[in-house]
Amino acid sequence: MSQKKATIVNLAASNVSVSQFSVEAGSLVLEQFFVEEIAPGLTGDDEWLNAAIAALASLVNTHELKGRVAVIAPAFLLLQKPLKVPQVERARQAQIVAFEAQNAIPYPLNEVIWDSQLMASDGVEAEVLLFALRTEIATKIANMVTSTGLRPMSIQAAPLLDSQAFRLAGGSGAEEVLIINVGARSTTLSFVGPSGVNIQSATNIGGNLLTQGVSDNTGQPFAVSEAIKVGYFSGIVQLTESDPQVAILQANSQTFIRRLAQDINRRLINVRRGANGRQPARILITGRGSQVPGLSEQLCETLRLPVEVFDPSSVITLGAGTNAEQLARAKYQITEVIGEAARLTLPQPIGVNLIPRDIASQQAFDARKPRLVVAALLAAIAPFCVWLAFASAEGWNQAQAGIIQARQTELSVRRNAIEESRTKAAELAAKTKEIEQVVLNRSNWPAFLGDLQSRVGTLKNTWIEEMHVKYETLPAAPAVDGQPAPSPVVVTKVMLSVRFLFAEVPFDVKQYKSQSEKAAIGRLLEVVRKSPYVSAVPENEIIVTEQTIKAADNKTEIRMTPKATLTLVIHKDKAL
Amino acid sequence: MQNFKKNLGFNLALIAIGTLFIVGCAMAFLAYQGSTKSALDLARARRDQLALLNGHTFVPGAASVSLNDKNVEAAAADVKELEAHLASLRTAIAGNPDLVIKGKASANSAELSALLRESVDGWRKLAADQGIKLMPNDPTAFGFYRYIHNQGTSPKRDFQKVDQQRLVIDFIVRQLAESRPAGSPLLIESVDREPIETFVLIPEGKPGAGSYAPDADGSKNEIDEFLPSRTFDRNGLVDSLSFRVRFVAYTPTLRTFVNKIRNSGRPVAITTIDVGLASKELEKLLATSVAPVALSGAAASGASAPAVLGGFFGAEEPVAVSGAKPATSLVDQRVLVVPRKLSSFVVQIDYLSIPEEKPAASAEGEPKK
Repeated sequence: MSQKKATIVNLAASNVSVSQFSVEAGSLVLEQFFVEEIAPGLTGDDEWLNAAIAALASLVNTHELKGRVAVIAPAFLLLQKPLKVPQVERARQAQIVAFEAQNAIPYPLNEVIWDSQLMASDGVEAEVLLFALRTEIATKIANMVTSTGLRPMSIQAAPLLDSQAFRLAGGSGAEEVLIINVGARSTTLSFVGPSGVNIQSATNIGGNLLTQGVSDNTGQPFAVSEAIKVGYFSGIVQLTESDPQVAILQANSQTFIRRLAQDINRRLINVRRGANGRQPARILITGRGSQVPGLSEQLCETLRLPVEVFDPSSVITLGAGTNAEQLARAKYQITEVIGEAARLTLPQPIGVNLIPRDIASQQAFDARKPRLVVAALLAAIAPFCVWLAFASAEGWNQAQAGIIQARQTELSVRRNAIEESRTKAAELAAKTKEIEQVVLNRSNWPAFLGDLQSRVGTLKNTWIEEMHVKYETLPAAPAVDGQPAPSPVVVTKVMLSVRFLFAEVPFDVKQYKSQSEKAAIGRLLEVVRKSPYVSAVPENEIIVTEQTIKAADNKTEIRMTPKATLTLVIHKDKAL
Repeated sequence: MQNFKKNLGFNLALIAIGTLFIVGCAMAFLAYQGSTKSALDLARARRDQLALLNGHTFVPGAASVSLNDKNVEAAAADVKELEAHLASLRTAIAGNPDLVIKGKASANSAELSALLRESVDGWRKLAADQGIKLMPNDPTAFGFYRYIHNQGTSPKRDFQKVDQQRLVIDFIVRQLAESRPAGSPLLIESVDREPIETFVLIPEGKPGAGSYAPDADGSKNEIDEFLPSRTFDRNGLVDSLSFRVRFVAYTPTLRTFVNKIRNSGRPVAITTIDVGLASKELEKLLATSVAPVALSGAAASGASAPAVLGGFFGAEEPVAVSGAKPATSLVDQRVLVVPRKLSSFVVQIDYLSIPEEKPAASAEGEPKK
């Protein structure tokens, strides 16, 4: 949880201070307090403002101050008007105040920055205090403070703050008190009581009035007279009784006190005569002008009221950056600062804000800038999260694909190896088949002849006379789509001419018995068909020629040795 | 514009942040596209991998083969086994290395020509010495007629192969001469060979381009030469040199010849055998050796009557039958019914060799010889 903090810039007539407050355990802590004096006798607003901002800049640079600040504007820059408005609801009352402001403020409203604060109410009428600051001055203050590196968030009216400091210091609500703040160029009277707060400012009565009198009487420059005045009354400068300046100082002091007392008395009488008939029970004085010797006594005697020094610093705690001596030195000039800081702890603080609206909105906007930038940055980063997710997914996918690819390569290598081996094996198998055919068939002829001999040899009176081989090429089967045309089939045929001898036929009988012939051919076919080399012996290709041969004597005709010619179709795998 | 200038830093920061946002959006979009593409690639890679993990169908319709090391090794082992088998087959064809007939590598045309003449003379002398007849008018030149009968000619190339043919013919002639039973007639009609040295190179664009083949117009009608219609030649796997022997003899000569060839241990194979009856002219030439042989008067049952030519590799005797009217005579008088006859044999023999395997790089484009 963030700690409540406030930095307050007090642009007083004679000095500029920067204070940093925080809240600890419900009480204010003065963390830092820096003050810079302004050259006395600056009567022009611009002249004074420049000097004040220069002093502020010096403080900021020296102590490296920064951040948001509340600026307290001095009474002499402000136009202050009390208004009486009906006690109605707040929104309506604001409208009435705005209307009354047009009459009360002697400038066009667009040339001033104004604000109001409800000070008192009897249930029928409400007392509203109107503060106005020329826009030009307000803008100048805001801009010049901004130029030092600080960010002014509000311009507060100094007269309002004494009563608030009194509230912080534990002022009783039932007690009527008059707080007199005697400044360099003005004096503020704050009537604080149960019926509310009444604030009046005497802008022409202040410490500078006394200095001006001394300067006029001594002929010294204002600054020198100020130094003599401050030195003499603070006891730093010792003057002999015979010194003519002493008489002048004392005479002017008496004049100043008398004039101030008369003014206060006049205002007090007016307040007493007011609707509420306020009667302060005591007087609290503050401001560096209140240190003029004899002022308290004179007021006490004139107003017949007890006079005490108002020191609200007693209710604040000192932080690490401050010390009691520093605070004691500043106790007459810190009242308004504490009054502004009381905003941190008081439940219903009073105050106005006289900072120009455009600057205020700019400041508010500036205050939001970091958050806006952060928000925009977060929004800008959002796509990068998406990018990161997708890029990560892509990286993972690629890594996985790489792993799979490596595995796939391994499998492909194996597939290629197997494919290569199979191709090689197919080539080798084809070669092997070719060579196997040579190896197996090279002995076919001797084996075939042996087989034929063994088979024909089992038959009586049968022998082979001729043998011719014929190779017939059969037409190849038609090619199937996409396949090479099959090679034509070569059929091996062996044509045997076999001759039979019918021994049972009488030698001298010239006749022929077809039954014997059929039986002999049948036996021949039977044994030949059993040959592993013979796949078929076509019946229609068997030709029997009845042949007559002559015996050795060349005379005898033998008609019992017919010749049969038959075709043996050889098995394809036993090709000859 | 005034407000913009008033909050210049803030506005510039917002512009920068806005730019950052747009850049971020662009990058996110690109990353989205990349992620989508990579996801698709990954899915495809997974599908492909799954397909490979399920195995690969090398032959359509066959079962998938798992792509593991075991199968890779098994495939390689199959190849090695086939290579070993192929080597064993080659060894079986090549036969005993000591008995391989090789031509003289250093032979040249003149030297080869002299060798051919010398060999032909030697074979003729061998025939004369052993009573083996040659054709009387035009005796065979044992395959080298074109060089023997044309003075001054000699092979122009393939000297080593021609010399190899010479040596193989020498082997065949000697085997044939030794196959003849003592006193048995034998007439060598011719020994023919392939005129390989006359083959021409097949030009590019034709089947068998780069190899040598017989010239369509040449050598067909040369004596002692032939172009085999059937050989054991397997292009690039088995080379063969074909020879044809035409002779007239009795069957035992053929049988012995075939057996000797088969059992010689040399890489030779019988390609074809053709058997026919010898012509009358040839029979006359060998008349002195073709005297009919009658069976002895000893009894011979019909059951023991052998075939004459039918017994290629068995006993071979003339056929005799018992005399007519066996019931009337107690003595079985043998009568020669079928005379012993000479046969004309044509035997084609292939000399086999395994060509040297050429390296794959140089195998292409080099003419086959």
